[in-house]
Amino acid sequence: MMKSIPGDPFTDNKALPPEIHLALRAHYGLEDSLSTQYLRYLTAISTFDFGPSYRYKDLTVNDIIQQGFPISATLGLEAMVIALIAGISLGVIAALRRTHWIDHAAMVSATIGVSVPSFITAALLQYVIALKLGLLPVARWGTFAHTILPALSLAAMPTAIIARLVRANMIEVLHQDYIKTAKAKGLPLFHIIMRHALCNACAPILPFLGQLTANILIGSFVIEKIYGIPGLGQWFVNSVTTRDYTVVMGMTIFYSIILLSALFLSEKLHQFLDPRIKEKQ
Amino acid sequence: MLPILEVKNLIVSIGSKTLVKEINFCLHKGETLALAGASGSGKSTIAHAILQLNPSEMKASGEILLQNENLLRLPERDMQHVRGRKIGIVFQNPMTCLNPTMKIGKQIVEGLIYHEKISGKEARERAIEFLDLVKITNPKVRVDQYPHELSGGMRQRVMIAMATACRPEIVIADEATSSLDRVTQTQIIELLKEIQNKTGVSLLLITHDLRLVSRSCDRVLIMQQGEIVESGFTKQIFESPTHTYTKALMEACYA
Amino acid sequence: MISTREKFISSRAGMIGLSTLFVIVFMAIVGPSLSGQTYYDTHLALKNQPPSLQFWFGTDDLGRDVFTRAWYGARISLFVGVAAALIDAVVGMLWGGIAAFSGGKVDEIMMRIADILYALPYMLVVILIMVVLGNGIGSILVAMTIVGWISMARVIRGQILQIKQEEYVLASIALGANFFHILIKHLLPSATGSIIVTLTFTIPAAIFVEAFLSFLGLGIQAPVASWGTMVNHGLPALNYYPWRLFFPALLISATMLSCNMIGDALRDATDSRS
Repeated sequence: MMKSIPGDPFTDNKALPPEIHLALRAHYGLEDSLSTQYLRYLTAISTFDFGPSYRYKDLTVNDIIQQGFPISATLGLEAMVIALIAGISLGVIAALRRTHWIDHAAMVSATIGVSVPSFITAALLQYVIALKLGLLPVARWGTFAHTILPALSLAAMPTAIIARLVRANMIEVLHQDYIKTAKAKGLPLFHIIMRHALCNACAPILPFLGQLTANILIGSFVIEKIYGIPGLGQWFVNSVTTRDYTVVMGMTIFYSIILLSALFLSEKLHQFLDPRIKEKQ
Repeated sequence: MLPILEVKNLIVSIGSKTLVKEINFCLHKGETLALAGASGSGKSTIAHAILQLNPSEMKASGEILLQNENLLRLPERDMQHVRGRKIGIVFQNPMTCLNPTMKIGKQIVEGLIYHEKISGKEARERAIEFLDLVKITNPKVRVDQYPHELSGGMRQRVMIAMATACRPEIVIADEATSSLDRVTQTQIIELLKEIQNKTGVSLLLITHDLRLVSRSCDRVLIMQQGEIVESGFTKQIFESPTHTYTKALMEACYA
Repeated sequence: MISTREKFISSRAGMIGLSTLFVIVFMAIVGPSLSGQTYYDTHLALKNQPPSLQFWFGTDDLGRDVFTRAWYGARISLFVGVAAALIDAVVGMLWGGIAAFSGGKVDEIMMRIADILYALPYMLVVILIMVVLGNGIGSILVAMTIVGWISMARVIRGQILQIKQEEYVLASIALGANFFHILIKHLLPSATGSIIVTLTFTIPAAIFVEAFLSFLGLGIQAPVASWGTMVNHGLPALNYYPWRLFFPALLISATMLSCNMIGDALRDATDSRS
């Protein structure tokens, strides 16, 4: 599909005289037939060699991934942790205090969280907390403080989604008979929630975790741009706009691997938490 | 006979509807008392009221005295000490009353662990003991299984084990055998009676099955639409029922 | 028994959302003509002005009127959002409907295809297609709808599988009505509730995707004003000229929020369980 894009990575570079253009194409093997190119690429991929970047002559795609991945991974994981903890807590509290104002407030914030796009939340946080109040650094990367605002911006939407899910599940779980049994045994409410309700209420979130990862991954493109973070997201966006197609392809494949692993992991976790699932299979 | 639980002027209502009207009765130590009646007569409501298990929309007034304490007025904290420890309860539907994602051994001794803080190892041993007491075969294997791996009858035995784990003085069986087949029903009732013989626990059986009542209960209270219409010793009631409803019920049961 | 409409009206959030949306749509149609400016005229001498009597939302870095651009952008974003959602809906309805009604092998194959497509990370696919197709509204619509119809298809299929067994459907079949007749005249109308609810949630998602793409530089480009491009250009100037970011951001959020509130209220109103 990438090959169908008109032009090649060098068409933007107007300063290139035609002979050098041709030579460059030959060097990168672009003159060979389409099928040869495809085959060559596939073999390279199986050894995890994603090839060189066309834009940045001294970098290979692997280099780029190595540089950017740790940064994006830290950001992503932080956001996920925030989303899970905040989302679950909010959902549980809202479910316990139904019809109370806390429930309404929590659900309204959740709806807002789902509606306001992450890049707007990011811009807002940046403006209010970093620029106007000067509490946290505005951009770039380096210390833990640098990770707070970006992680919060990334986590906003997932938190809202998780909170809504958990609340709905929790309300259903609390109506179950086994909760009544637990109460009849004289167990205190806190214990009942932590041991009985929580597990069962959170289990349905797991299949969603795969999507959550995708969400955070995509969100990182925008968040990294806003906060000037040199992670994979920025590289990907740049490579897309400059038609650096080995980078685009390589990163797409890399991302797909991550997403598939996340999906696989979440399924395994779900089986672990709810033993009935294994039986059904 | 010593009264161990006294219910005086109990009224339970929800909104403007009265579910249970002015109920008065006594449960004596070591006896088996039956609360019998058709569904909707309010028997389960009474059972739930004893342990404050009714939804908060239901209001209860009157007195339920256990050792001179009115259970209806007890704050939640103290209620937790009564539930499980002084009064145990077995519900009707064993399939939904057990947590599907927790091993049954754990569920049996959970109350024990929480109240007496025994170690994990000791808890497991106690669980196996209880499983044996309720006549579940192969307790060492079963203790690590999940509810869906057991049959209905076995699950109900687990429920009984749970209800008796902390050695309560009273065990309430709320339609405990209604969802089981006849053979298993008999076995479960026998198990309860055996436990009663061993430990002297008082049983409150809630049921719509008069045959069950005639075989296993000392006294019976017949309920209709929230009121007790007849009460007395089983033998007497069955030989010469006085109230029309009682007669109708018996006819329906022995038809 | 209260009707669905009454249930919806009783939801405060739903009504707030509906009214807000009306205002936005109204302004989208009328706004640009109100201000007396165009979205492309530049007033270089007056660039980066804060909101004033002449320029109600201020001016941007090329001296263009933010107010007009914002409502012009509303037209574009709303159009893209609704168009994408409708295309998704139609494709989804047909796919899901045919699959569910046919049953058997056809159903299996169709849904298997849908499952495979669904596994692809949506945004990545959209981005890649945008790269291939280039910028512009047409490309955005294609990119969004190529995979976007799947959730609607699933919802429809679920509904139709339920309704398929109803008596009036069987009666229709017995009378010899043909496949499409039954599908369109009987089955789909019964699923209307779910269709509308799903539609109401697809629209804000589509608006978000358009804004996201434009923000990354992949969608609509300047000088055409879409909310996404305005946010993109307004961001670097956040510290000095915040109004350039504030208004499009506010409008995006308000639109998406209203649609979500309407969707929630609609879902509660049509839910037979509540």
